[in-house]
Amino acid sequence: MSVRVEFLGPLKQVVGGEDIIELEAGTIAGVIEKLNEQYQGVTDRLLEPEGTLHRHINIYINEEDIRFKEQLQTALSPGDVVTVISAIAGG
Amino acid sequence: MSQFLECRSCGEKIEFRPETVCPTCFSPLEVVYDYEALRNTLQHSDIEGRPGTMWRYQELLPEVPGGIPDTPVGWTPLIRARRLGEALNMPNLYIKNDAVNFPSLSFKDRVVSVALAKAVDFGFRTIGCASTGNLANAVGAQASMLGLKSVILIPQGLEQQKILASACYNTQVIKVAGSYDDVNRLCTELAYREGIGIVNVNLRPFYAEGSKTVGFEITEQLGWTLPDQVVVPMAGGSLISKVGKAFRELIQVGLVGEKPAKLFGAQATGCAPISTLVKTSADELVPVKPDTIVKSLAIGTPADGRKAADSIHQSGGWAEDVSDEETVEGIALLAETEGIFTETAGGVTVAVAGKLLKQGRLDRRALTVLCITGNGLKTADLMEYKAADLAVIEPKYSAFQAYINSQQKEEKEHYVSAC
Repeated sequence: MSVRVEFLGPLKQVVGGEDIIELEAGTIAGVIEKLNEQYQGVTDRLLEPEGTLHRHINIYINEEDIRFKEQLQTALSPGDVVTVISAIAGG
Repeated sequence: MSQFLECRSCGEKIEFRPETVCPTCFSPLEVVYDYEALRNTLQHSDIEGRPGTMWRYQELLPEVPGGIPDTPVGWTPLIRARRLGEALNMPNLYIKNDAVNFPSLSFKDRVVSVALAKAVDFGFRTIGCASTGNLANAVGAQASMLGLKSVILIPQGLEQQKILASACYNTQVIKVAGSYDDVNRLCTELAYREGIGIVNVNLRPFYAEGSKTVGFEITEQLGWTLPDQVVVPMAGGSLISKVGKAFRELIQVGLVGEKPAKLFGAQATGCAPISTLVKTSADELVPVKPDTIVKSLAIGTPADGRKAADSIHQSGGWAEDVSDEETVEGIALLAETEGIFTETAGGVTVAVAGKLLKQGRLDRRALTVLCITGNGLKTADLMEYKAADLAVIEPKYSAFQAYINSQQKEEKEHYVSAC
């Protein structure tokens, strides 16, 4: 199933400066795995060594924070928009 | 370069620019100063001879090549809180009263003063913010003062007084159908997609430095002495971390002697991710969906939550949270004992101080400062119960006498003795 993945600001560097990437994946973990095949070091930069999401990065599915869903195992539907943004904001 | 941005995690150093995270590891950036040089040059008398604003500490704030702002922000009263101290049995209690900070009556005027100075420096034409209310007021006021175009995004459920106190300025206020955390995500997108200078996104490292001036002022107002304990409300977790940084910097540059100052954090139980992190010593902060009347602290995914918890633990302090009812009681207690009308965050701070005392976490004899960060007129509706049953009498002395006589005996005695 095809989803649209958007990277904002400094996070674009993870995927070679790209803004938007279309790919096929069933979960957020699947998205990261697919991206890691295309761009070197994606897993290392987006995840903590123990495999959880980097504490200073937020990922949203259609504006919903995956931390309030099933984290990296959150399921995706065709047409979903996944946004990867810095968590260092606000307050 | 005497000042630069440094990554808190990997140590990478970069020159000042509108960015909030390290380009290599995405950890937060922090403004760093040449402490060694300042240690040899900066004296108490240099600071004491300057105008009574937060910019009297300019060497420990981000450089502003175009000149520091001349707006009289900061230098708010530090009050010896004798009557509140009696009520809490704390004989050495002080209030840092940012409820009367200029121009918009909260500590947020401090962070905005720095952020807008740097926004002008970086050439932003439009500035903005995600806000729970106080920041909206501060951005609206100071953007108007400087003639900057501004856009303010707030959650739609904010207190009406805070909305009005933002919309009155020359600014564009936009309500967002969602929580503060939704607004914050949207503003992060605006910063990167639209190139707007969002004070708490791409101007955040500079913005956050303004909070240090609370710690600088407390110390100078105590006669260049650090407090033993300070109680600080926590929303995003930045203020308490920066108060701790201020104390460390004053030691580093030799303006005060080495001394432990314990940091105590205060949250509302309906949104207590940082307090929970402190109490559980968990590895990671667990985000929450806020459910509290304390909207000014209702950040469920605090960006500096981990940092705040670390600062508290390292200082030997603690954190607590209180219910909405305890918050309102805290507001009333501060008003009735010190004549200071604070908003919900101040009520949380007072109530948490009482709770920490009962737990024995706060030393009741130690020099303690409660940070009151906002004005009660912004959340005045909460105190409606105080004025719900007020009597109406005819404009006659006899009516006044009749009314007084109708009151309970002890109430009458209280009134007469007060006169």
